Amino acid sequence: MRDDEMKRIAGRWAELEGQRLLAERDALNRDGVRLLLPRADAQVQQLLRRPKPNRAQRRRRMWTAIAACLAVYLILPHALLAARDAGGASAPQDAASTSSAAAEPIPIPFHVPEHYAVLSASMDNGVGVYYIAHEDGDDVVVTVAPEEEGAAAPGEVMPDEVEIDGETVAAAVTPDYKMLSFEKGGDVYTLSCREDMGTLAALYRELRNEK
Amino acid sequence: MVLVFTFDTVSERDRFAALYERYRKLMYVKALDILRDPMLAEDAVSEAFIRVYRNMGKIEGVDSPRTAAFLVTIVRNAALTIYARRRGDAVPEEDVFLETAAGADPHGVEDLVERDLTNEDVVRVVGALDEQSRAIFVLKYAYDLPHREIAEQCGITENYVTVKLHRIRKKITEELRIGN
Repeated sequence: MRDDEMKRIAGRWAELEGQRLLAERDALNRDGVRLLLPRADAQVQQLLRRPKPNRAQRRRRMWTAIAACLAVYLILPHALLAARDAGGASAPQDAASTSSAAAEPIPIPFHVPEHYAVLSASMDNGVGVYYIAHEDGDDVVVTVAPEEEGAAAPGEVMPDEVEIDGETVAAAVTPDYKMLSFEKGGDVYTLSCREDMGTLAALYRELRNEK
Repeated sequence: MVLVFTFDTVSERDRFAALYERYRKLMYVKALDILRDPMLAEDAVSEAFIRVYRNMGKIEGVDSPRTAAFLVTIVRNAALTIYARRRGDAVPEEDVFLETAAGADPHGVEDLVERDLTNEDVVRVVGALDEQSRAIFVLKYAYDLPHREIAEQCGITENYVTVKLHRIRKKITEELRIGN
């Protein structure tokens, strides 16, 4: 059964059950007697005083990573493709950043698989952004966000899931782009491309299996 | 008592406070139904609101039916977890062989869901699920909680959530077929 049908059933059930519960709630509250729950009251007061655990920071990092993927993918492709066609792409593990030539080379934290070349690498708010090109397929933007710096877990930010070799992987699938996200070695990796989830799946396997 | 602003927005804090005021009694009653112990029921309410706090993004209007169902699902899960913990029960996680699509009827499922489901159908098929399965199903498909959060709320592993969801889909398909 398709997920959208399951959502339809679950949503209707929540609506029906919720209406019944609201009536029950209002009947209970109508007597005007306040139930004594001193420990629960104290706990809630603690919550009302406590700062949310890095939620805003984690959201900022998530959207930074996604914006970086999309900005690189949608705004720079022509310039980078021209550089590639002119032989400007190189496969060394340390790629120069897209900023000035005097900048320190940014190390690539993963082994670039065979048949891929790194077109650019940059750091954005602690998130590494790497634009890599396959010799005969979709170009891919890879972001690597350290979890210790508050990166959101993949399942928290990706709306979809796909199955790859029996594993459920967090994903985003839209008409304009495809994304996969997974954790490895304390970092959150996000892969995005324009066209083909298969390209991301193949890269996912390479990155997952590298030692 | 002065409430100190620590939420992302003032409205979020006010919504949380309003949820607690309006739902604490209902949630206590639901927890007491399961636990039969006032102190444990209060603990369940307390635990439930910690979970609500973590999932404020899933809360719509304070008086929305979906919000009511969400909060009660959460407190029932909290109560069930406390109940299992008190009994020393580990939640069983059977090995499940996920059937491949090879033996499935490729036409049956789509035919079943093409017709309009009545409210009675919806109540019946979801009601046929056991308590834990119903909670997992609703948290996943009505509220789009990630597997990790569902696992934490139900006191099971993330992997088992995935397995359970597969079984739940099969169960619902079977229930729809029976009704048809």
